[in-house]
Amino acid sequence: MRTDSQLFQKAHQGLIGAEAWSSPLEGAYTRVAKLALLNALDARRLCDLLFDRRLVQASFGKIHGRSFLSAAWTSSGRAIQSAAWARCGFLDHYCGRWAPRIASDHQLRLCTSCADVGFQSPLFQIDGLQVCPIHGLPLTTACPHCGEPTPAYALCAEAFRTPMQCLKCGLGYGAAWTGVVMLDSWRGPPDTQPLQVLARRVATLARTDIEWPTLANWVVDPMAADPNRQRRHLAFIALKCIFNPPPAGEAAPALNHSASSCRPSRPLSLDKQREIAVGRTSIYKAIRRHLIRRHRLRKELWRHDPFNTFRRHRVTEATVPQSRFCSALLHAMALWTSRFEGHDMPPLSLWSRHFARRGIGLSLNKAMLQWPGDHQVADSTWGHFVWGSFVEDLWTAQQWRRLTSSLEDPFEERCECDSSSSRAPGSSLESRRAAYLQLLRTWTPRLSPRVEAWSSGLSHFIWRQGEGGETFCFVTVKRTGDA
Amino acid sequence: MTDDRPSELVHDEERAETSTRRRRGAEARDRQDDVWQATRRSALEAGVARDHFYENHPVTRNEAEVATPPLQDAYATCEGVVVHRDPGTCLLGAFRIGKTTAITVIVRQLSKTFPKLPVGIAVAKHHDNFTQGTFFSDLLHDFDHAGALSGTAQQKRLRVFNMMLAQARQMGSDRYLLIVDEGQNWGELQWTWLRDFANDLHAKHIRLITLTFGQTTETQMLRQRLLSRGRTDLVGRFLLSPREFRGLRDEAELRTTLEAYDDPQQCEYPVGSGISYSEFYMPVSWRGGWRMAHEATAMWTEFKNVAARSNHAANNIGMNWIGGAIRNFLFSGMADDGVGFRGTPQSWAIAVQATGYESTLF
Repeated sequence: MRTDSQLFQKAHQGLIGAEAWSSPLEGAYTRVAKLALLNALDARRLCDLLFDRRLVQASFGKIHGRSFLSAAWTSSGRAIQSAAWARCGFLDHYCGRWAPRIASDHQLRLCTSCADVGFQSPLFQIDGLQVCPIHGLPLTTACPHCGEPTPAYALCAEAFRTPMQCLKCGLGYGAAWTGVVMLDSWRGPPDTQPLQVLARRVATLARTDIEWPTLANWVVDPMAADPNRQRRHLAFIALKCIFNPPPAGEAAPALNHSASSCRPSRPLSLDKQREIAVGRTSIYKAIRRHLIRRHRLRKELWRHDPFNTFRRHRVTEATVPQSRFCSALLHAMALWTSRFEGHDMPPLSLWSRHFARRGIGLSLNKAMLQWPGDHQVADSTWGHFVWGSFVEDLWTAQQWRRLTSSLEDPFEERCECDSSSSRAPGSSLESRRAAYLQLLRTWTPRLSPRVEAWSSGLSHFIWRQGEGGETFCFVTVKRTGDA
Repeated sequence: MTDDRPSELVHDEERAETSTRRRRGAEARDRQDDVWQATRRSALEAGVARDHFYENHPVTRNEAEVATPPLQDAYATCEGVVVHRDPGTCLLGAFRIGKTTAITVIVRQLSKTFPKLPVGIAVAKHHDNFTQGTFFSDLLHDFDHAGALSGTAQQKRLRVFNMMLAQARQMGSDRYLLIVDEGQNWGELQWTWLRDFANDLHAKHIRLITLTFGQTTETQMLRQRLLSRGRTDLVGRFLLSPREFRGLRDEAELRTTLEAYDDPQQCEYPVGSGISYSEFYMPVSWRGGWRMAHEATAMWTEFKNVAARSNHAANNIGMNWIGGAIRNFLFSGMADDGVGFRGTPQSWAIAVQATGYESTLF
């Protein structure tokens, strides 16, 4: 029976509620869109009424100032039922502070079948999720009718001018969105069970104490169109496969990871430091010896003059092969040994037969020996790191070779434009030089041990479990054509 | 699985269980009785609690809602309208007859009879410059919508439409009852807008039923005006068969009304205390056997005398005057509350005079 306050129907706290037409795991975007259509209110008024905040005209932060990923910007001052209901659709409601690290709000991501029944989930914004768990359809960020990009996943004027409709062609992103109230169509998917499985996985993140200080610096591919998106994608995959390993039969993730116990760094006695250095130097030497033997590098080294094989940028110290006859493997070895043994170029130790036999007098870089710096990890983990570093440097060298092969060596050729009035041939050389320099600028962090002590393709995080239990997780991307 | 225990043992256990249940039930009842007694004591004995209850009493606040015989007639009309889906019915009554209070009581009763019926109350207002935007703003305001004053007329119309549609769908109803108070304030344009609105709802398979309360003379004039302009569509839909919402017409009806004041089932305050309105104000007299219904003859005689003085018959007395006279009588009678209390003709004369009833008889 209705209570006295419901004796006759009024707008509940000033708004017509849409709770009756929402589904479990529905996102804030469609929730607010339904409120906007039911109440015929624009984004500005809704933002004020629901969250007691003004719209932002422009947003330049990593996430939008009125993003539906995180409810941190909303005010809890107005205890409106519809506001609390809408807030339940923010992504951070499920995965807490991880929301902006694994998902993006640059564009609304949707499944067209879900949109047909008036549904969109905040979990669709997770970059690591490629298909709708309910329908198996790929998630899209474009209008299904004209291909126009979808608006930001945020409470902004353009997104809610015509909610869930394309700004260009005016058609809805699904059959349930025609610009008017479609109560009969807003019934949601009949079964959200597959999405709930994902939601439970994601919810474990919110409950887990993870510290990932290097996440922001994790650059898997400097040439990627959207490195941030790639990073969010990989972070989600890394966390997913560590906490919820994929069942047998599921495709292996594109990441290598190793977990071991660790403890925070503390001052060590000189003897202990020396002991660690000796052990780790042995690991490094073993790996290096294996690489030289496995790839028969000695023969290749004899063919190259150590002083004319590599070129080094005098400011950034980025090292690139001077000759196109230098293999990617040799380039990788040069980068890798420079990282661990010092910044000398050419890395003369590579050419040293003496070292190849005995390794006398080798002292590794302190920064590399003490990796990761803030924590002390087992030697086995450090060995993974040494190997991972080489794989990353090899991939870098391979990419560099692939990208510059068409440019040949533009700095070895003489510029004809200086002596000739005709600029046509010279322009080609100039453009190749420009392209080469552009590539060098892009790849400098990876080509210079001075800029990046270790490759930005390597990452790690600390996972705290209970009293004093800390697990160190080392994460690298699986590279095709690994050494 | 079978129960291998001896039957005597099973019976003993059952008996023990039943007795435990009974004992717990009795304890709960005792606790409830204690709370009830405490509430009664605090409400009837002088003190801070009674002062608080007095300030918030519906009679003190002039918000008493009593199911008088005319109101019961009006409710029966409304019930028939809803059941038969009559598109529009109007109930006409003189001013201060208790129409607005009647709406509240009728809506409360309707919510019990038709729990899935969405009901909206619109108070028609007069404006010098009546536009469609104003019309729908008024409706949104009555519905407590935050967007009552913002947007275009079309947006406001859409809000009202969506609101009714959403409420009907949410409750699974194909009807929406709109009760219009002070219906005489709307003219041809406003009723036309409402007709168009009803048509739009009908397209969504929702039938808008309107129940209009208005002042007799002005609403009849409006009806005549519409008929003279050939707007039979509006009259046929909203003002087809005007029915009278009358006041009390004889002593018997007054007695029934006063009996409601004595009956905690109908008029109880504080809620759950079992204290009727009469008992709250005159607790000692109540214990001595006095009842408000005993005052029916004296009260009606006084109203008759007042009406006669102005050459009127006391056959249509609005609840406003009746309720006002009861309040005045109770307020003054509280000072004389005691065993053997009985209202005097003089006390009723003062109580009725203070309502201002006489000044309305011209």
